[in-house]
This record gives sequence, structure tokens and C-alpha cells, in this order.
Amino acid sequence: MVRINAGKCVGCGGCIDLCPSIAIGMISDRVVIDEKLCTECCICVKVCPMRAPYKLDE
Amino acid sequence: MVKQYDVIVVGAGPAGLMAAKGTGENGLKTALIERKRDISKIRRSDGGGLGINSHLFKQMLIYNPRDRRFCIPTSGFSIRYDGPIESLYGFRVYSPGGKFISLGDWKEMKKDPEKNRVGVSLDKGLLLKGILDEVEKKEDVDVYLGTNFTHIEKVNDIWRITTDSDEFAARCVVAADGVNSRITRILGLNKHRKFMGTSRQVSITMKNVEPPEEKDGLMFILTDYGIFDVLPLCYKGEFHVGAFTHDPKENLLDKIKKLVNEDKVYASWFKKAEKTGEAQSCVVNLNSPLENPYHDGVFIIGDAAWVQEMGNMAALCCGWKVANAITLASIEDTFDEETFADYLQWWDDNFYKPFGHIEFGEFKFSKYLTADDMDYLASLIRKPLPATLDFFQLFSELKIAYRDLIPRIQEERPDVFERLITMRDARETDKKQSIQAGIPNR
Repeated sequence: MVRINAGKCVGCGGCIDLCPSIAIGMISDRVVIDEKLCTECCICVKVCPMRAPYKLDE
Repeated sequence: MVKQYDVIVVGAGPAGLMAAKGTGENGLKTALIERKRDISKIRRSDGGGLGINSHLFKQMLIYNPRDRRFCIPTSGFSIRYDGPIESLYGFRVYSPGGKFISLGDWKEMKKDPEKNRVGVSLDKGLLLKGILDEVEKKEDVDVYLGTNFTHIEKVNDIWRITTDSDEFAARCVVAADGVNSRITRILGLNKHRKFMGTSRQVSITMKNVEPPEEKDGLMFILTDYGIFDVLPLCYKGEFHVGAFTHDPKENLLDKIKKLVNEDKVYASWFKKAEKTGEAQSCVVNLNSPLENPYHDGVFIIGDAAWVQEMGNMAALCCGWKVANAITLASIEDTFDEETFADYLQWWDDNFYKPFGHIEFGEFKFSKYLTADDMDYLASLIRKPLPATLDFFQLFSELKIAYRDLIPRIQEERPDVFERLITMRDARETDKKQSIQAGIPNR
């Protein structure tokens, strides 16, 4: 499961555009991952300059 | 139910707003879709600088302070801007030891700001909000804020746009969805573009920053641990302080902290500085410009068609010109490439032809040169070079200046010369590394 650390995310939206599964969107100006669509490819983790997204190991 | 329009504009940045303003004014039923609710709050790292009083992409932007208007006489429109501005006089490149090369004699130029400034910093959020307010008042435009674009496809000869709340349909779509455009990716248009890496940027805003000389321009600071940019913002006394990299392993926020708190030379600029506001960040995929920004009823404009540094102005022009081209096509009821020949020629002349072959790459000075080397090289250029805020001109001015200095460097400092050659020879390998570390949106 990939989560976003809301304390680190500034809402630039870089991960939204580069997510290949279109699993990330902006809801009320906050970046949100749709768990149903996320394939855990972790591109958002790699691309984020603020290091906000992280993979949660189950 | 699918909402029917003449035109759907995706993205309410400078390009999309001008497109929607234009089609709305001309009487085309327009939907403007934007994922943010409040576009006046800029969350992407952006110094908010605009080059003025000189040609960029063959366009000329001027600012009329009495009427508070940005005017683009080369494209025939103007935009009201009620916010503050600060004058900018060019670039400065600082070496690790505090030496600098100046583009523009800032001290001299400041004597007549209106005539001599080559750029202004402004509140981009206010500029955009001003255009949005106009667009929202138009009878023929519906604005959908807080709406995430998810898909585009053609259904029965009509483009269908899917979002997280509604479905839209129109003959014409304007893709103004930014530098990492999803629309260009979904339509497969990025496959033929040259990909040059993924640039990441982080910036903070600070007040009471005190560079020792004039501070009215875009200052790049080269250190042996990274490259930074410092730019005065339009709110007096505030500065943008940013760092950028293509390397996903680098922690940019830590680097900025290092510059501000620990740097032997530059920490002195920040002695009294205080952070104001939140940090901002930005991810930019560097692709070559689209050869053809028109695809069967879909126009790709602004950064979606090519990342244009300091180019908000070019994005405004794209939007305005495309709106007028679509209006004429709608009257004729033909949407083939021939109908849009004028716009496509304009794109080709200004963007594809001059910049289609350019390879952006990251300059890794500190990988090859010592801090002392960079100080020496910076100290060789004593007189200001021509003033500009155009990145392409910055590089060409520096190239010309150093080309003439090569014999001197070779004689005075053969060791530095050797390292410069090594850096040049490694350029291709470095470029490849940037591409490999990048995340292409194909």
C-alpha cells in the first residue's frame, strides 16, 4: 500500500501526472491516492521531490 | 449524462485560461476543467518571473504600470494585473567562493527601471485568478474546478473527456494540462519526443535575505554540493530560494538547509533570513517540443507541448491564438490541419524549428571542477555580459565569453583546462545517466 505523508506533501501534483495508472488525484487541493487503482509501482515515491509518498509494508 | 460543448479546455494555467477566455468571448460553448479548487495558491515551485522588454519566442511582452497591464503587441492582447511587481535586470552566476558573472549591469540599469528592466517578478496566482474571474463571468464558459481529468478517447467522431465527476464531449479539445501532460501520453504523442530526464525542484520563500551586491535578478549559486537559485519575489523583501536535480537520491530540502545554515560563503546572505510560507516543489519531464501540436481535433498548448522556461508568456500566447483559430474553424466547420495552418506554422517557426533539436541536460560542474576552479573561471569575466532573463541566451552568452577565454585558461591554468575537457567529454555519458534516472511519461 502506498500512502502520502500529508505533513511533507506540498501539493505540487508532480506524482499525479506521472502515475501510470491514473491512481492519484487532487481532492480539495490535497493529493490523494486511490487504493483501488494503485498498482504499487512506486513511481510517485521515486519522483517526489519532497519525499512525501511512501510504501507501507503489510 | 454526457455534457456537450463546442470546446473542452483541460487545465486552468496560463495557456488554458487564455484559451477558455478566447473561445468564451468568441461565443463558443466552452468547458474549462481544472483539478485545483483554488488556482490563486501556487503550489508548484515557481519564482514567478516573466521576461519583458525583449523578444522571447519572437513575442514581446511589455508592462504598462499606469494601466496595470501586461501587453503582448506581437500577439495582439493584454492582461490586467492588479498585484505587485519587482523589476529584474538579468542573471547572475555565483561561484562557490562568492565570485560572480553578471548578465546585465544591474546597478546602472536600476537608474531607469521601466526602460531597462528585462523582467519582473509577480504574483502568478493573482495573475491567473484575474483571468479566471473574467472567464467565469462569460455566458458561454462553464468552469469545473476541483475536477480531475482521467481519460480522453474518441467516440463516434467526437472527443469524450472523462473526469472523476462528469463526462464531457466536444469536437475540439484543448490540452493545457501542463509539462507532464496526461493527454499527450494517452494519445501516444510522447513516443516520438526526445526525453532528456526528470528534473525535480524544491524551493522555500524567505525574507531578509542579504546578498552583498544588488539583488534584483535571478541568481544561480554554484557550490560543490549543488546548484541553487535565489530570486527576489514581488512582495518586497521576500526571496525564492530553490534547488534542483535530476538525481532521485538527492534530498533537496536538506541541501537548501545546508546552503542557508552552513555554507562558508553563502550562509552570510541568510544570517537574518526567516522562512515565510510553505515549501514548494515541482517535477518537470524534459521532452523535446511536439513537432505537430494538433492531433485530429485536439490542440496541445503551453507546457504540455513544450516546457518553456520563463515562458508563461508563450503559454498565454498559445492559448489566445488557439482560441481564435478554433473559432474560425468552427465557423467554417472544418477541423483539418489546413484550417489551422497559420497556428501550426507559428508553432513551427517559434518552437519546433529553433528548439526541436536542443538537448537539455544537467550541468554537473561540481563533479568535474573544484570550488577553486569555479572561482577562477568566474573571476575571468569582469564586465557584465548583455542583460537577459532568457535561459537560452544565458547559455549562449556564457559560451561565447568562455570561447574567447580558452587560450588564456590553457596557458594560465592547464589543470583547469584539462578538467573542462573531461567535463565536455563526459557530457554524453552524463546525459544518458539523467535519462536513465528519469521517469518518461510515454
